[in-house]
Amino acid sequence: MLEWLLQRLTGAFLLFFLGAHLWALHLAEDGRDIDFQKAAQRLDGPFFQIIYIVLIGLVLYHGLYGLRGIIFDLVTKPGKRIAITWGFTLLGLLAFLVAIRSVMIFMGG
Amino acid sequence: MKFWKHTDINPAHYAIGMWAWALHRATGIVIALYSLAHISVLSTVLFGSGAFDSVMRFLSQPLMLWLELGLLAAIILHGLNGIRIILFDFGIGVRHQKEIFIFNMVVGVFIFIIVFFKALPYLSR
Repeated sequence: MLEWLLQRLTGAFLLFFLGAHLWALHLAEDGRDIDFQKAAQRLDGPFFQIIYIVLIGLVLYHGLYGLRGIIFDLVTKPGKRIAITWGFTLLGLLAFLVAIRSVMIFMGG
Repeated sequence: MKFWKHTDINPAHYAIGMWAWALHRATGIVIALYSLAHISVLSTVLFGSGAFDSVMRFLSQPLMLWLELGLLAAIILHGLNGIRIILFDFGIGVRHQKEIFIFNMVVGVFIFIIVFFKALPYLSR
């Protein structure tokens, strides 16, 4: 039940966070020629640092939960469902760690 | 032909709500898979800013920008229809679900056209 609710909440918050991300990258300044320098500049202050970390968490939860739901339309056996849930959870944690480690590089280490 | 007349897959039973659901699911899959790929690609920064910049240059080619516009269309549609779903969860507008979907598509086209014209100078570089 909580997961169902979180899907809606993450979706709603994603409208804002994803919008901010796309706006900052493509509409705020010269929208192309993205490179390390520009990204590092953006991530110099806490504003974008927080936005990115939250954004990564929101996207991974919302996306992986959605994909899990689609697979659950096809798989009904409880044992398989538990395994699939574990798989997605581990995938999400791994992706989150990789993403945060990458963001830290832009932040200067 | 007769044996499947009662099913959902009979084209006579196709409805706007079904297309809304199908569109939401299709765009959802695309965006979810893209997001995983996006994290992978951006994590090339772990191999140094030089590697990252060369990947970014590759992704700035016009073909890639066209693909990104397709992704943007998917994001716009998924987001707007997501709002539609949340409205229905609160019981708002359920009786007008078809009109709301049509409204979403129109708004989506508007937003897309605005961004498309912003992107135009980069698409034909």
